[in-house]
Parts: sequence; structure tokens; C-alpha cells
Amino acid sequence: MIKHVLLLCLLSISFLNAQEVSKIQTLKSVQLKGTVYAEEDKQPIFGATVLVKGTKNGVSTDLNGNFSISVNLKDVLVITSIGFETFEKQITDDRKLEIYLKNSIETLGEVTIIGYGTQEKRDLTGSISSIKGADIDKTVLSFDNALTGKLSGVQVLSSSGVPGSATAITIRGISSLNANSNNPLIVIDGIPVYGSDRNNNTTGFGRTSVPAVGFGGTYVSTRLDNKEEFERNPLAMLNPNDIESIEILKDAYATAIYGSRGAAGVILITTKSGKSGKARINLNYATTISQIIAKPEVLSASEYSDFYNTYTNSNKYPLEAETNWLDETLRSGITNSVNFSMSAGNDKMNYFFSSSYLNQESYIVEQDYEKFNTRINLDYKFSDKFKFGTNFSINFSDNNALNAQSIYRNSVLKAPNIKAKTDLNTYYFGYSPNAGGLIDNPLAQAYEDINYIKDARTIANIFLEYKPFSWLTLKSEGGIDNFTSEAYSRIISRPDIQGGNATQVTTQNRKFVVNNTATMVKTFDNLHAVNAVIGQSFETSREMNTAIWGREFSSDEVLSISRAGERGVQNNLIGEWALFSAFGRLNYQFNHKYLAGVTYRIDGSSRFNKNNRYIGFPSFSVGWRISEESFLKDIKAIDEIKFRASTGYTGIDGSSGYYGNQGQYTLQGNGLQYAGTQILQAKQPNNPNLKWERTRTLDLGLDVSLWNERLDLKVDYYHKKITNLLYSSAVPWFLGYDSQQQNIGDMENKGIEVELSGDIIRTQNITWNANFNISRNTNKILKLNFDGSHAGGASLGYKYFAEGESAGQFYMYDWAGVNPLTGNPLWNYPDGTQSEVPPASLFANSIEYRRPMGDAAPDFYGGLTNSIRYKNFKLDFFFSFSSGGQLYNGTKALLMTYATSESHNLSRDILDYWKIIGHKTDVPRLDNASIITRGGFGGTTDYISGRDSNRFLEDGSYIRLKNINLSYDLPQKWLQKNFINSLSIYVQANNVLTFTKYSGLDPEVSAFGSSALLSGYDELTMPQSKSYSVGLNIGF
Amino acid sequence: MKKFSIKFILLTLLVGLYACDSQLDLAPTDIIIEEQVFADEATAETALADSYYQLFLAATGPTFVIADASLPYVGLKPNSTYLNYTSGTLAPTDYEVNDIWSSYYKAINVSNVFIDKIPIYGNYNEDVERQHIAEAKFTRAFAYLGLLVYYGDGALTENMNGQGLPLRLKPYEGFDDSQLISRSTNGEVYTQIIKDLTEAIPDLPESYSDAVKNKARATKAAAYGLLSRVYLYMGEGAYQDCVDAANEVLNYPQYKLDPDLLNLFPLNTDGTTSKFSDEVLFGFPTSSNKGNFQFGTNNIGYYNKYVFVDSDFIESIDPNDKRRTELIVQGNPLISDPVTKFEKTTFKFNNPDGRDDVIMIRLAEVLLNKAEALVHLNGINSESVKILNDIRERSNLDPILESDFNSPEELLTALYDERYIETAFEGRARFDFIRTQRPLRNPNLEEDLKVFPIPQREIDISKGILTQNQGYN
Repeated sequence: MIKHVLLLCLLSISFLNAQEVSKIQTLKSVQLKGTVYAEEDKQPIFGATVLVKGTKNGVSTDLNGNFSISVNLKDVLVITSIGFETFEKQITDDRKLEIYLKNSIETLGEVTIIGYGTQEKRDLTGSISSIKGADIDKTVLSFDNALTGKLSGVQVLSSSGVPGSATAITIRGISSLNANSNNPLIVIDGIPVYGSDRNNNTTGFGRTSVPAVGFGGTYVSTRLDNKEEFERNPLAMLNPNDIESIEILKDAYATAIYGSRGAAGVILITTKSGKSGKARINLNYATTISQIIAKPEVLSASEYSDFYNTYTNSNKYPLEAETNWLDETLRSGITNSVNFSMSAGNDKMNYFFSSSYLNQESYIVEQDYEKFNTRINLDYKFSDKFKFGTNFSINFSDNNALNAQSIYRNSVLKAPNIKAKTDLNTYYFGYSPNAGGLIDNPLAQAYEDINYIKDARTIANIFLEYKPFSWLTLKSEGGIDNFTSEAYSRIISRPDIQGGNATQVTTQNRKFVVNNTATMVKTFDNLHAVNAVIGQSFETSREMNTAIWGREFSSDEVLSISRAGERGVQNNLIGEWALFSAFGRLNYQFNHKYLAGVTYRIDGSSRFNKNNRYIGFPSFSVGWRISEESFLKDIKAIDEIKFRASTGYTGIDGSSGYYGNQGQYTLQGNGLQYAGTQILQAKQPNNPNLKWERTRTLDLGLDVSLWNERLDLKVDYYHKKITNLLYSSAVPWFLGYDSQQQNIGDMENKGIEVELSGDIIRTQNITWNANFNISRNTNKILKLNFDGSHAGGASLGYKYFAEGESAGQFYMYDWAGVNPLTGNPLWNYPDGTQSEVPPASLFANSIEYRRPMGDAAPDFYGGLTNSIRYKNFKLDFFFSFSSGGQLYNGTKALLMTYATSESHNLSRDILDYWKIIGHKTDVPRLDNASIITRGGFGGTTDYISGRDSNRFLEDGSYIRLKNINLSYDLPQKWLQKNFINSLSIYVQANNVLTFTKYSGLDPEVSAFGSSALLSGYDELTMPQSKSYSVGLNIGF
Repeated sequence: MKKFSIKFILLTLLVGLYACDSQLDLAPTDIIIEEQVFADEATAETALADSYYQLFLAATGPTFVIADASLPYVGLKPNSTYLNYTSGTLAPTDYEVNDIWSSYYKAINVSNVFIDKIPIYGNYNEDVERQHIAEAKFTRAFAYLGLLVYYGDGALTENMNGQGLPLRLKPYEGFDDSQLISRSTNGEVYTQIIKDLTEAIPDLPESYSDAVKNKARATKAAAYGLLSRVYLYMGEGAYQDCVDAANEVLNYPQYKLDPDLLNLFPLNTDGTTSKFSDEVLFGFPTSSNKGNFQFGTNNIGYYNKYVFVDSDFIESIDPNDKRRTELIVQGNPLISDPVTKFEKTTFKFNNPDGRDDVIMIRLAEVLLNKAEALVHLNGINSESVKILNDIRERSNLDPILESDFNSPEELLTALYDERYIETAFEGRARFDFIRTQRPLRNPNLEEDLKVFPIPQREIDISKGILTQNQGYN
């Protein structure tokens, strides 16, 4: 467990308390007492050796770091302890000594967690980004939200402001055209857990009745419908305070040990463990006030009424009430969190215990999130050779904020001239006095409807370690991720849904993991060293989902679906998969100068085709620490210069469902029969030759550390090529199918990442440390299908895939603004001409007039962290930035759509519609030539606010001050009098400052949750909150 | 000690590997994998039901209607798309050209999977396995004939070397260029159809346990009946085979001409009950187009008069002919469309929701096949005349004497005319007219354009390995 202790080492450079020095005394023997502390956290060090230099006279410190030794004045004391720099002190008087030991970096080297093991940082040849738990913003609900902009090559996009909602984490670009296969593998304490997966984490709670739509209404040509569903963030269940460190494995050498699941990157999370010494207790408390980052500007009731009356040239929208729906539903939410932890250890046992509680109010009324986490990590050494231990956590969350997105949306859209309540003080559900508008009453949704997901999750592992020789460690561990969730959604009785309706979804996901490893670390002749691991892993998962629905309840008080007037089972599915793997890694280094490594993993997956079931993933790497060469070794300014190179293969195993590509059959729905026999149809044809997507990565890296680690630079270039890309593509009809999954695509990601950190000021009283990272990734589809391109429909977010372009292009008609002479929209045609005829209305070959217009992925992104300390004050501020990503402002599109029968509320921008010849504006005349009525059943089509024109496509670049924190550490002298080890208080603000050209409220949203491929849509998606916190950390 | 450790680790790994591989064979709960589908009789039967169902989807709807609408006895609205199929301007990108092709091939693939997998995975009574394979061969043959008559260049005009169809006899198991095959000749496709049917016949049952299955699933008689049609379409050289096949059907006494036309084409108001007459050899039951499926229909639109019966044709029929008095009706009385409001339609499809039993092979056709082949073989003969009169008399018409025919051509013409009225609206007239070289709705339609074009998509995707029919080059 030494590694865990070492991991605590922070790079920050502290200031030494100068020791008072007295004048020379005469030589005499005294009994000297003293205490040894760690400089970094001021905690006593247990078991440090205190030795009189040049003698065998030595003692060890006790649990409180105290020692007592008989010395002569002028003797020199040598104090050593594992993980700390050796400290020497000449004895000048007999006063009690306080000795502070610095964390050692040089002697043992900093250790980094890698897949199935650890490695000294200086010997690393793979590309790994690390962040310490201490550097993560603890005021956010889930640690992944705090990673945005912190690490190079890692893009984290929060999907919305709903508490506990998903994030899209993309490591070095997307690696699959399957919308849900780009999520990295998450490993907590060696156990791969259930990570982000849109299919697995989304709970639908739609109204089961569909509003009737008649013929002849006005339709928006291409729209994205807001689904009533919630995708949870599976990582929110982890208590961020428990995290010791996070390592992001990026290149093939780091990820190939995870084989078929490594292509999208791997996130290793290590939780805290006990440290030797007496019990330490930490207590953190924080209160946060959060508000919507900016309030949407919509029409007031009188403006609304005027506008629609003008547009319809009638008086169908009278001003009968004035309801400001947003004022009624928005609030300042209060979050309280308290976290308690205790840890201790001795040479036999170490433990860490923590417990935390969080209650977060979202900025929408009545929409709250609550979670409770507790953890115990402990290890016990019952002999020199045997050790066992466990990391065990139980987590509960109760999310009542599922409806927040829907309430927010309806509050923005609901017509403001409709009253909220009837005269009888019940909620009013109709659309009177207007002619139409089926938008639900958001207040009734907030105060009356019931929506919750209660999750319980146990993530635990138990391990046994046997060390028969000093160079060999055998470890066996078993882990479990047991996740159960119960979701209930109830819409109370209302005129359009008599008796109300309810859905209840129960999910039970359970996963077992067994890892057995043998680790060999051996040095020969003090020059050659080998660090090798071989191992085997077995994993099974069973995922069960049952959804039942009921409607026509006799009363809103009756909640049980068994008492519903009508009820049924919507879904009942059990999916299982298993993965058996064997793996090995051999790292060799010569005198920390020449480094080489090889890894290999074989995965056998139940998801793979039976005759192609075992797949191997090799990787290789080399490194050269040129700074160890004689010609550089003596240059003091250089701590390290290292060149790294690696290449290897990884895969994606989730891209084709549960059961590979064997022929699958399912009974024809609807109870259809043929002459009394049910009809069983092929859901998927047998396709034994379909191969798995394979990613080959080349990584070239440079690590530089200068001036006693005052400046650190890390640069990586990578090239990731994905072959056998699975994509559904046309086959000849005479084979019996229209299109089928085929391995015909190729794609590449190329990129460069730079991490730079430095101590700008490093003096006793003032330190200023800055940390900057920037990443660039360019994605390109090299080969796709027979046509070379494919335009997706609404379910693929209208994204376009074409050879030579990056994946997930916006593929659109080119809006050319408004003709000031006529007020009609102008459209650019590919031949360079402009016309008032919307190209989308030319049905025959309208697709020819569209063109790719960029994707949502930024050209480059990163962050800048600053940490300034003056004496006991510390100021941290952190900017994240993203540049060049396209973001479709669907919010604006929706708030500029006035022609449908919904007659919902609109953006105030609509008031600038074209009014008179010569009027220069972006908003066309209300009855313009791009809203086209056809005879018969064609109805009217609105071509100006669809998702297929670039009218609302915007640059989503931004720079955001994610957080700024000022903290004050109370002075040690005062604390010790009160038996407190440390106490700091802080104030913090999040998301208070954003620089962006994006005209919407928040450029950091995604209507498609964790799917990076489909990101780039702001569809009235709840923006993030800005928040202000005060907090307190006490250590005993 | 070191050796021991390594051995120990290797042993652990090996034991682990052995134990775990079996753990990787996981079966889903909501779907059935191929191996299980074909292993037992009950599930195999449900898979077989799909092969019939796919055939139903391919052979009914526009596939069925176009064949009749290619003749003027079907009344069409002035802008009807059915006019495209005899206009001479049919495009290789036409929706129905694509759809008829792709849906028949979809049915063929389902049969192919079945024929391929039962011998591998089948684990039930071998006689039943053989019967199941025989049924799948019947549906495959039926589908290939359905395709050949539309797309085979010269298939109905005895051009056995003309371009037929790509003969796909293996199931889809992934696609690469090696799956791209060129078109076999018409002769080769006929040979394959005949092979499938003759191989199937010994294993097909004479009857099933259930009255509807007797008609809705393949029997020996149905296969012989289809065979008689195949040989008749092949023409010269196959007439004796046609007679032989028809005679095989006549050996089964349970099939007889139904004296009552309204029993043969009964009123079907509910759209859920199948009532096949003794005359039917094979047909698609109502269950395949309804079940509980809200929008299920056979897409044959006579009742609502999307297509109807031409008034001149009605006038041309003898006023005493029961096929006029009983089978020509008003159709949906609620129609308000001024174009079709007063038109008449056929009673053969009388369910308001398009959920009728669709008769695909019946004895009257088999008899007419035989009669026609006999004239080709023997000239004027009493057996042909008797068949002609049996059918006439059933419809209340006077018999014609053998001596009234002056030449075999006259007898053939009488048989053609009888078939024209007898099997009208049963989805085959286009093919009968092409093979007897009589004009279609558009009398000026060039011979080369009476065949459908191969869908352009197939030519493009096969990189030109499939070639277009002559008339469309």
C-alpha cells in the first residue's frame, strides 16, 4: 500500500518554516525529544527512523510521530522514512525538535497507476494523464464534471443542468460510428464498472397517450422531438471525496492491456486508503447556492398576444391572463453536502472510512437530488507475505429531478396569456383563450406529477496478496458492481389524460469480476530492471430491465400500477455477457535510461462470433531518457527529458449488442399468424464473418522537466486508425436484405496534446503554480460504404457521414439571410445562385442542395489552472475553453417557430421580423415564401426552422471561468491549542464568467446525453447552473 | 521454486480457460438464436410460417394487381400509377420495379436459410424435417416463378437463353464481392424451379390436420398444380409435362370444381375467418393479412375501387354468366369519388379492409392448363373441350360442341377467352397475354418492354455484373 501513500504526494512546492537557530553550545549529552511531521499535510509520521549519524544509535517514532533519543550536542541526526526525503539536523540545544519531512520524489520515484499494476512515473512509456483527487472540484455532483478542461486529450461535455445527468466523455476523438460506443471503460480500484451507455442508463417516462394530430396543420420540415427520458450519469454515484487519483489511459500501450474495451480510452479511478499513523478525521461541509446560468428571454403576455394576433390577423390570442411561467418555476437552489472520513494504519492494518451526504436542489422548483455514500477501504497484513483487503462502497441516490428538463422546456414554451390555475385553485390544463397549444402546465408537472429514480449501487472488491519472494507478488481479487434502480413516473389525471398514467421501470444490473495477476519486479546488477505482470480476468454481467405501465387510475392517490384501469408490460429484458481474458506485460529498463515494453491481451467475449471468439491485442513501446546520457546528465537545469513511442491495437466490444452476429430471431409482434402458426422472423441474419472494429494507435511523446521540476512539459502526437468500422450499408436486394452491418469503413483520429505546468513564483511566502493544457483532434472518415456517404435521420440527429469528412457532420441547406426587398428568406444553391425557393421543398433531388457544415467536436480544447498562495491564503481559478465546434441552437429554432398550431411562446428576437421594404433583419416576413402550403393532404411546411438548415447553426467556442476559489488555512499555532490539525475555510464560485459568441444560454449542453457522436444540439436543453459556495474542511 | 510458480500460474490459466469458454456461450431471453430456431419442430414451424408470410407479402398487393391492371378489363382512374406498367416508359428506378424484386428475394432468402439450416441444426423427426424443407422449396419455387414472369427477358416467349434471374440458393451470411452473381438464363431458372418442386413433392403431405393449413401450406397437389403452370409458361416442349402434372393433381379426389361460385369466393365480412373451397389448391389465408395487426391488408384494392372492373368488359360477358351476375358487384357503397362511384368491381375481393383469402392456385386453372397443353399436343380433342364445358356450365353457360371448332387455333382461342374471364382479377392475366402473344392494355407496347427492367440499384451495386434487359438498354 506504499503506492497509495506515495500517491498523496502533491507536486506543489511548499514553504519551510524556518527553524530558530541558537548560538553554539558546549558538547554535552542530552535526552532529546521531538516529533516528526510530514511537511505537506502536517500529519505526524509513524515509524520514521531517527539515527545519530555515524553511529548505530537510533529509534523509531511512535504513532504520534514522537521520539526520544540520547544525543550529544553537535551530533547530526538523520531522519528517514519511506516516501520522504532524508533529513539531517545538527543538534544545537536540547529543545524539543519539530521536524518536517519533505515528500521524496527522487528516491523512490512517483508511482503511477496503470492497468493491472503500477509503474514509476519516470519509467512510463505509455501516454497517461493523471489528476489527484485533491485537485478535483468537490462542489460538483460528479467527478467527471470536474474533469472538463483539466486533462489533455480528454473532452468532457456535461449534457445539461439536470442534477445527475449524463456527461459525454471522449478520449482522443470518437472511435466508432455507433452512437453509443464511444464511451471510455471505467475501472474503479481494478474493477471495470458500468460506465456511460445511453441504452443502459436512460429511463423513459413518456406520456403513453399521443396527442391527436389532424391533417392540414403546419409542420416543421425536419424537427427533433424532445423525448421524455432521462439519462443518468453512472459516475455520479461515486463520492468525489473518496478519490485518491484518476489516471486516463490514452495510447495503445496504456490501453491495450484492456484489449477489446480499450479503443475509447480507459479511466482508472483509485480510491483512498488508510495511511500509517494515528487516526485522522476529516470533516468537510459546503453550502452552495445555484441558479440558472442565464434566463431565457421570451415574450411577455402582451407581446405574445400582439404577435400572434398580428400573425393570424385575428383576435384569437386575447390577453386574458399574464403568467410568467419561468418566474414560477425557477428558483435559487441550495445544496448542502457533508463529508466525513477517518483513516489510520499501522504496520499490520490500514483503513479508510468515509461517509457523505448531499442534498441538491436544482434551479427548478420541487426538483431535488439526494445521495448518500459510504465506503470502507481496508487492508490487513497477517504476515510478511500475506495481505488481504477490501474496497467497499455503498451508494444510494434519490433523484426527483427527472422532470426538471420537461418543466423547464414547458415553462419556456407555454403561452404566457394562459392562466396557471382555475378559479377553483386547481391547475389549469387547457389552452384557452388561445386557438391551440398542447403544452403541459409546468407548475402541475412540478408540484403534482411524481417522478423519481432511486438508485442503489454497491461497488466492492476483495483481494488477497501473496508475496512468496521479494520480487514476486501474486494477487487475486474479486469484485462486484451491483446496481439496482427503481424509477416511477406519474402524470396525474388531467383533461387530455383522464385518470393519468404511470410507468415504472426496474433495473437490476449485476457484474462480477475476477482478476488474478502475478507481478514480478526485479533489478539485476542495479542496472537492468524488469517489471512484468501476467494475469487472467473473468467478467460476467447480467442486465435486467422491466418496465410496466398503467393508465386510467381511479384516483391520483393510487400509485400502484396493479390498481390501474389499464396496465401492461412494456418491456422485460435480460441481457447477459461474459468476458474471459488473459494478459501480460513486460517492461524492461536499463538504468532508467533505455525503456521498452510489450503488452498482450487475449479477450474471449460472449459477444463475439463463436468461430471468431478469441481476439488478441498486442502493443509495444520504447522510451529514451536522454537526460540520463552522460552529455546531459551534468546539466543541472535538466531534471528529465524523455522520448516515448508506442503502437498497438485495441477494440470496442459493445458495438453490436449482446450476442454478436449470430442469426437472431424474434416473434413477429402484433400477434400475427400464418394459418394458425406464429411467425418467427430474423431480427438479424447470421453473419459469421463480420469482424470487430479494431483501432491501431501510434503515439509519440516527449516529457521534459526543468529546473528542479519548476517547469514540466508533456507533448504527445497520436494517430489512431480504426479499421473494420461497422456500418450498415447497402447489399444487393437479391441477397434478401436492403442493408446490413458491414466491416467496410475506416476512420482516423490525429491529434496533438500539450500539458505545461510551472511554478511561476516559488518563494517562501508566495507560490504561484499554473497548469495549462491544450489538445487538438482531427477526425476523418477514410472509407464508409458503397456510396461513400450516408445522411442519418432524426434518430441519428440528422448527422451526415461522408468519406473525407469528420464523422457526424451537420448536413444542411445554406440559409442566406432575409431579402430586405421582399422579406423572404434567401437560400444559397451549390451552383452559386441564390433563390427564395427553399431547396428542401424541391422533393425530387433536394438532398443535392445540402452540404456538410462541420461537426460538433472542437478543433482544440483545454484548460488553464492557476493556484496562488500567499501565506495562509490560497486562490485557485480555472478556465476551460473549447474552440471550433459547431452547435445547433435548436432552442432558438424552436423559439422562432411560430407557424405551427402549438402557438408556443417565442424568443424576443422574433419581434424584429421584416416589416417594410429595405428592412435589414435576420427574421423573415411572417408569412414568407419558405412556409409553403400545398393542396390536398400536404398541409403547410415550415422550411425556416428545421434542423436541416444552417440558419441556427452557430460556433460553439467558449472560454469559461469554471471555478474560482479562495481559501484560508487557519494558523497551525492556533489550531494546535484547540487540538485541531488543520482547518480551512473557502468561498467558491462556479460558471460565473463565460466568453462565447454562441447566442444561446450555455454552449456546454448536449441534447443527446452521453453520445459524443450525436452531440452538438441545444434543444431547450436545461443549461448548467452558476453557483456560489462556502465551505469548511477540518482535520483532527 | 521459480519453476513451481510458473507451472502453477500456467495451470491456473489453463483451468481458467477451459472453465470459462463454456461460460461464453450465453443465450438471450427475448430472442432466439439460429441454432435453437431450427433445432425443434415447434420453432422451426414458426420460422417456416415466415417463409409463407414473406411470400404472401411479395405476391399480393401491387405484384398481384399490376398483372391484372396490365389488361383493359381492370378499370383505372385516369392518373393511376398502374398505367405505368404498360406505358413503355417504365423506369428501372420505379418503386414497384424495386419492391417486387426485393420482396420476392426477401422471401427467397427466408426459404434459403431454412433449406440450409435444417440439415445442420434440425434435431426432430426426420420425416417432419424433410416435409419442412419441401415446403420451403415450394415457397422458393413459387417466388422464383413470380420473379421470372416479371423480369425474365423472354421467359414467357420461350426464349430459354434469354436473361433470367440471379439464382440465389444460399442464405445471406454477410456480403462481399464473391456474392455478386450474374443472371442465369430463363431456362436455368425454370430448371431450378422444376427441381425444387419435384424434389419437394415426395416429402410434401397430401393434407394437413387442419382445413386452413390444407390450403395455406404446400401439399403434393399444390406443387403439381404450380408445376403445371410452370410447364405451360415454358411452352413448346413442355406441354406433355404440363398435362402430366395436371393429371397428378386430378388424382387427388378432394379437389373438385366448386359448383357454387359464391362458395368459391365467399362473402367475408369479418376479415378473420378463412373459408377455402374444395377447388383451392393453394392460397394465403386471412390470418396472414390481419391477425391483430391493425393495418394488415393484402393491398388488393377492388372493394374500395382504387382499381375496379371496366364497364366494357362487363358488357362483353354473357348476361347469364354467373361470373357476371354473381361476381360483379357494386363494391363499397360509401365511395364518394365521382370517378369511381358508379363503377362496378369484383366480388373476388369483398372484405372492406382488404383482408380476404387470396387464392393463388385453384383447380379451374390447372384444368385450363391441361386443356391448353392438350390442344398444343393433339389439336382438337374431346378432353380439352370437356374441360372448357365443365367450366362454362358451372357458370350457367351453354356447352360448345367439339364439332363447332374448325381448327385447333379456334379451340385455343376459346380456351384463352375462358381463362380470361375465369381467372380475371387473380393476378396472372399479364403473363397469360404475353405468353400467348396477345396485346396488353397498351396495344403498341413493344415486345421488349413487356418485361420489367432490372432495378437500377442492383446493376449499380453489382458493379455491372447484373445486366439490364434488352428493351431498357
